[in-house]
Amino acid sequence: MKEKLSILAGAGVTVLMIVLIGFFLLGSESMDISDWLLIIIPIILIVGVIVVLWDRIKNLKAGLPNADERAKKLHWKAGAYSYYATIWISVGALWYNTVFVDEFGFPALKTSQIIAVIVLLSALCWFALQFYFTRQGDIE
Amino acid sequence: MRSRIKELRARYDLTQEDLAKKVGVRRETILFIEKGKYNPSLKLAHDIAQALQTTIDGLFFFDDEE
Repeated sequence: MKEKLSILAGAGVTVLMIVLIGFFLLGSESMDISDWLLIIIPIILIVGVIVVLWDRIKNLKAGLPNADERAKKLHWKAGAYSYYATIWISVGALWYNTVFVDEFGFPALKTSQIIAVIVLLSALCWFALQFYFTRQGDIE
Repeated sequence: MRSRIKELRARYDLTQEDLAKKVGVRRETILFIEKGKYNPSLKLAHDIAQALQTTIDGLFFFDDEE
C-alpha cells in the first residue's frame, strides 16, 4: 500500500510538472538562457522520476521490494558522492566569472543562471553515480 | 567471496526471482551475490541460507578456502 501510494504521488507530481512546463512555454514569447534552464532542469528531473517509477512498478508487479539493503547502500553512496561533487562544482562556479569571463572571454552568467547550472550538474551527477553504482553491483 | 547459491537454486528448481521473493530483496541483488560482486549483510546471508536449506558456512566461502 505504501509503495503504491509513493508511485501515485510520484506520478502526480510528474504530471503536474509537465503541465506547468506546458503553461510556461505557452506564456513565453522570447526565451533567453535562464528560461531554457528553467525548462531543461525540470525535464531532466521528470525523465529521472519516470525511470525510477517504471522500475518501481516493474518490481511491484513482480512482488519484489523497491529497495533492499544493496539499493539503499548504493543510493546513499551516490547521494554522498554527488554532495562532494556539488561542493566542487560550486567552488568552480565561484571562479567562473573571474577566470573564464575575464581571462578567456566566456559570456558572463547571472547569479540565477549559475545557481541553475549548479542544480543541473548536481542532479546529473546523482543520476550518473546511481546508474554507475547499480551497474557495478556494489561499492566499498 | 564466492557462493553456492546458483548450484543450490538449481537443486531446488528456484529462479533468481523466486529466491529474491523468498528473502525480500530485488532480483539484481541475488544476481550480484551469485557473481561475487556484492557481499550481503549477515542477516541477508542467513535468510538466503535458510531459504536454500543450508548454513551460511555451507553457502559462502572465500577463495583461499578452496
